[in-house]
Amino acid sequence: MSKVLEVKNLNKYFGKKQVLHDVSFDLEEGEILGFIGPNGAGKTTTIKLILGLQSISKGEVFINGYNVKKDFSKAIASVGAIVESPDLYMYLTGRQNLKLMSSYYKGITKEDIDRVIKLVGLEHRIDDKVSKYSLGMRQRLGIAASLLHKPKLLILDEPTNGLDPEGIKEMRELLKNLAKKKIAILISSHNLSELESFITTACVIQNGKVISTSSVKKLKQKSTTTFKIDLNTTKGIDKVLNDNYEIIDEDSIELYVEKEEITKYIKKLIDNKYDIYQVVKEELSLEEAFIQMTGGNKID
Amino acid sequence: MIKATKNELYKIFHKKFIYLVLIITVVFTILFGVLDVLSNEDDSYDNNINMSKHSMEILETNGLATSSDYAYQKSLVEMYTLLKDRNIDPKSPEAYYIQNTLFSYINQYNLLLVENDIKELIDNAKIEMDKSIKRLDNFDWKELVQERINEEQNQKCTDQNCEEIKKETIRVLEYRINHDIPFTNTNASSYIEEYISLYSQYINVKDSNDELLNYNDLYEKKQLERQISEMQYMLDHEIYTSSFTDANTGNKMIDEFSYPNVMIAIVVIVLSATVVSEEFSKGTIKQLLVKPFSRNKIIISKMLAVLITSIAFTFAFNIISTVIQGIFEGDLITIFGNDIVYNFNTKKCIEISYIMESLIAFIYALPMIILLGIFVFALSTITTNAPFALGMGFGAYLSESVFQLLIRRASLISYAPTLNYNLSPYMFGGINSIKELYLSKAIAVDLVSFVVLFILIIIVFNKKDIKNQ
Ligand SMILES: Nc1ncnc2c1ncn2[C@@H]1O[C@H](COP(=O)(O)OP(=O)(O)OP(=O)(O)O)[C@@H](O)[C@H]1O
Ligand SMILES: [Mg+2]
Repeated sequence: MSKVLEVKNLNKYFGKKQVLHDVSFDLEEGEILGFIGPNGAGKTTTIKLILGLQSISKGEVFINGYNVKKDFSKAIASVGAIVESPDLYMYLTGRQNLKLMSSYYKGITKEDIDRVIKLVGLEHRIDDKVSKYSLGMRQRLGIAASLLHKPKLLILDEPTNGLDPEGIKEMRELLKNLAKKKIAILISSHNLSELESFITTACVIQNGKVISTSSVKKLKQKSTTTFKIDLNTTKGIDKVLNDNYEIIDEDSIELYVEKEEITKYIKKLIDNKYDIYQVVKEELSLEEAFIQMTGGNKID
Repeated sequence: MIKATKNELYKIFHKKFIYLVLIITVVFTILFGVLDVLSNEDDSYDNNINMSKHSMEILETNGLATSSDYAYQKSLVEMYTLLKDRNIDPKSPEAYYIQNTLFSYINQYNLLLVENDIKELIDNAKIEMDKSIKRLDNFDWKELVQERINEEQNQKCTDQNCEEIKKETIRVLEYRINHDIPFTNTNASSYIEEYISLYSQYINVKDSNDELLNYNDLYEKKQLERQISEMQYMLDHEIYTSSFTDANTGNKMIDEFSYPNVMIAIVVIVLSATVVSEEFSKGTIKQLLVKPFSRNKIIISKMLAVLITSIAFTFAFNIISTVIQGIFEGDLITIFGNDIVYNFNTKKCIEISYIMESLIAFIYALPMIILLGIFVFALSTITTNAPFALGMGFGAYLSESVFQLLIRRASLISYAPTLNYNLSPYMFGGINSIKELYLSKAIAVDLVSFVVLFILIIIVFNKKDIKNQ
């Protein structure tokens, strides 16, 4: 598999304030990278640096092997992107927007335009003015516009903004299908639960530093595991366990421990005369993993 | 580049703004035309009589029945009554005679009367007046002209200038007779009178040494030379339309093209201020910048689109307002005629079609459109703040008249681009009425301003970080 995007030691200063510290990651064909971090972590800034929208203070970005700084036009030619929000001309219709965008590339046909319209399901409203679109419809049109020239790398900054659950589901399917066609996708979000079901890799960023990059499966294993335990009563349990649990109701708790240690805790409970009816290992969601890793959504 | 520029034009022409301004312009021009027609005073004899009678009443009630004002109003009443009773065509030579020569006799008589002067004087005035009225019975304007010729011939001159003025006056009066141009309110007649009065001014400065004159006098002299040359040409060629006495739509068209008016400035400034900053404020600039085009291409294509639209709009605007004015004035056809133009270098007149002259004027005024546009464009690119760029743009546009006042105090102000960006005063070798302003300086200032602003735009846009919204 070949590398579509290489981000190497990106640093960005705004005046004296450093907002990115040596941010690095790679992206391969067919990979969907979730770029995850709380508000103000530096996601949008990183994406802007990749796209040449802001100057790189230090570091390098390669797209398809082309250096963004030196070979901008070649590097950017195979990229489709939405940054912050879909940027569309409100006084034009959806179709006029697509036509306008397509004219910046060579060889985009009317059929290509119809194809992306169908792909995002905007056939019925495509000839309305964009000013009459809902936010979700604009997101769809934005994605359509970024797919016009069949990019190899798709960069989406918080694309689920404004989408309803149905829309998010459709987008997931769309992105999965695109990944199958070997498109590499970089998608940023602070809302993890939306991403975890379909990204292949997660890159967690906080305070401008990448604090973890790993495949999603690995990420989940790294953290402690949640076990749900049903028992006869929860009375007096505080004397038995430390503070690594939560009481769910009168007769069940959630326990957070390393997987290997669970037998030790079960033994302890039985020794203290508790009846145990059921122990269920719960899969840790990426979001929980994320909160554990970053210590919550603190903005500083 | 062409493609990118085409895209920018596509965006501009899909906005309502330009069309809105064009419609407003049309509506306003029509409105002014209608107002003009409505405000045309009732010039009938009856109305004039009533107005003067009314004035007399007011004067009487204020105890001013013996004032010269009262005499004047009384004379008007009598004059218009005479015109009315004899049913005289207001455009005829008789009407002109009555309103000028005869009126002065009537007024003289009335003045003496209200002031209750010596009887002998009053009687004399009455005789003179009656004599003039009697002339109306078998009125011949040529007789009057001949009398003036005789008067001129009897005049004794002591210097060369007087002789020359006398000779020319007689020549032109004879011209009247030969070309059958009576004293009336027609252009031809007015030109001849205008010409005679200008000619005596001209003779007095004709032989002065240019190098010894101060700038204002030199400017006046050149203007006189131009007017005399143009009028002589007109008389020689029997052409009696010109911008001095009455401007026809052809003349107005040239003015429109020479001095782009405030509506055009508004469009140019608003367009230049918004095209870049709007993309920033709406965020669409990001989409544009992730296209496989260099930033240079993107910003230059925008600049081109703004300039092309501004120039096209200026042209369209001038044509539209000329046509509407022409329709209201009823002389639209004049724009297809010829104008007489004085060339300051050769000191000769040439005939040139109004359309051609307008195109030349348009080109001379272009630096104004281009510099105003690029100035505002630069500000909006640097600050991405449309209101700021708008404000500065209007400030610059208005600065021209302020600078003109200040230039006498600080001659450095003469390098202000707004004083130099309209080249139309220099058409056909003309000179500016302000000494510090001249063509070569204007061109230099314009070029330097353009290059500086252009480079500034390119550098700033290339360095620009696209901030978060
Ligand atoms: N123009 C700027 N000048 C100074 N600081 C800036 C500027 N732009 C961004 N920052 C700072 O950089 C940091 C990263 O911002 P960025 O927009 O990249 O965060 P983000 O991860 O996209 O956040 P969000 O989830 O809220 O979109 C923030 O602390 C922000 O305040
Ligand atoms: Mg962001």
